[in-house]
Amino acid sequence: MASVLWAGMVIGAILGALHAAYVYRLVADTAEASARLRACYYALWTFGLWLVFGPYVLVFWLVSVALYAVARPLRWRM
Amino acid sequence: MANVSEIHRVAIVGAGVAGLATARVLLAEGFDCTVFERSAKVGGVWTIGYSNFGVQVQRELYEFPDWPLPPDAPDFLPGPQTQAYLEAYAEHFGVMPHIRFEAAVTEISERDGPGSSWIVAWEEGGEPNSAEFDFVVVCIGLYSNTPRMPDFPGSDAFAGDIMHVSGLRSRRQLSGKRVCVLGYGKSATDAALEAAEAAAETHIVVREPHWPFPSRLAGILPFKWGLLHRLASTLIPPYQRATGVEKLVHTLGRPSVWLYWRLVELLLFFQCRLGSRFGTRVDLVPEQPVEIGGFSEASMLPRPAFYRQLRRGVIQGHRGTIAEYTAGGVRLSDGRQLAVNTVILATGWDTDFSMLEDSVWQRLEPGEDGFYLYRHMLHPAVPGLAFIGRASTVCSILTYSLQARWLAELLKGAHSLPDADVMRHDIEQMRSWKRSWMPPSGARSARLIIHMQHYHDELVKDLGVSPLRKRGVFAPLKELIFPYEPADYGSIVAGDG
Repeated sequence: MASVLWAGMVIGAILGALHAAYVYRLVADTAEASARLRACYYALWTFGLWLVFGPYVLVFWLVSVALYAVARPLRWRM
Repeated sequence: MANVSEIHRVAIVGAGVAGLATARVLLAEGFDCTVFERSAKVGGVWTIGYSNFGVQVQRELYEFPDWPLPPDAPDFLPGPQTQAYLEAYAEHFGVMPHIRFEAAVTEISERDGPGSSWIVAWEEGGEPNSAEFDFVVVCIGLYSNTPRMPDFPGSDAFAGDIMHVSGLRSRRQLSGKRVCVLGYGKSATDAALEAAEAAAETHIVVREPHWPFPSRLAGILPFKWGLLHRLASTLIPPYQRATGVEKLVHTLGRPSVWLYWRLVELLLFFQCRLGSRFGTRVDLVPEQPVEIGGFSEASMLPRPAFYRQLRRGVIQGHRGTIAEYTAGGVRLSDGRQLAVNTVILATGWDTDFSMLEDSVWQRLEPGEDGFYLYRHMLHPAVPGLAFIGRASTVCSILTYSLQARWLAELLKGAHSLPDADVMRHDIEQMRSWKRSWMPPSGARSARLIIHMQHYHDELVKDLGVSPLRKRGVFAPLKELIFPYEPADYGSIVAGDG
């Protein structure tokens, strides 16, 4: 349980950092005043959400991989 | 198209939602607009609706971004109230004096070939008229008023009535009748419900079931919370120009996306009890996965009573189609006979752009799925002509308002179009993308449905404004899981950025 939690947080942190960088660029790229400050705020939120929900995302992904592996050869709901 | 600085006189064809939104914005920007409306009232489809017809979505999803509905307006606004709302909008923004009512446009042609001004010909009071304009905006929607009437054999022998759903003005027309409704879109389910109230017997014949989107998921959560936010728009089939995040989600995260939609199907299956054996012992489980089928021509939000009446047998469901009319009713494709004396064809409407000069029409490259446009509005081969309202989304009124603002800013010179080759490439990309996965239909070129978020983002970015519209301390979280609504774009449509 603890290892899933840690693994999820680590994966969440990696994906979160990548996603945060993307979100930062998206927001900072606008012509609005204080766009960079707003971009930092959005990036921090993005990273935080990934960190918190990383373990849940990991578990959902593992379950989905198992089910997908069964459904795909059967072409079920593809 | 004339140089943007030379555009003054604009013709707008149609005074429905799209036409009114366009006129409101262009008039505010100082253009000299004339709106041609063939009927005597504003509202387009809302002036001619069939019995008991109304808005499919909650009130906050069907209002102008810069003109909210009155606070006491109900959800799923009935057609007549919607028409009154549109009339109030037109009055408030001073559009009414610019509308020529009962003026049916008969031809739109280029004066001296591509890039010249336009001649609009119309009939008014039985008299032909014409005038010259610098720019024309066609706002007649996806379909015309021409009912699509499938021609099944044996209609001469049939002793009862055959009508298109648009001819159903009151449920009293069905009183005591034995009714068969053909179709499974919004109008078909509405007609079946009307028949269930008044007729002696009601059948609905469904050729191809598709996924319904209940107004409330699990009977609790308004559907917008499940479908109209950025998280959901990341999980639908990737957009023409998918972002890096979307590409990752649909490669590494593909199993999770697949599982998410299976869970949605499970929810719909149980909520609408699609596995129930209706009428002739058939179920209504669609074959297509929900994330694909949701983009078909007949995607809809049925009234909850429809499935209740089906389960009770008040409405009897049949899979198939009408094979032929007989003297006493209809014979279905599976050989079954239905003894009915009224057939309602809820089979949609045909498109009709015959008002466009043939050379113009050919340059739009019409195909079986309609014609594709840059940003769903313009074609580089036909400068000076725009279409507002040729984008089918869940929040059409918002989409048309954003399109109108985008066009107004273009005509003002606040943003510009890319080169014709770039636009052509974009159109070709859109065509290939849609044809690669979206179910075929006569209006596929205009379908966006839940992809509206991507489309709205593009329009807003073109205007140089941030597409992230949520505000407040929790704005980043809201961006992810809060639904986008017309109110989020009020300042953009009003021209305040």
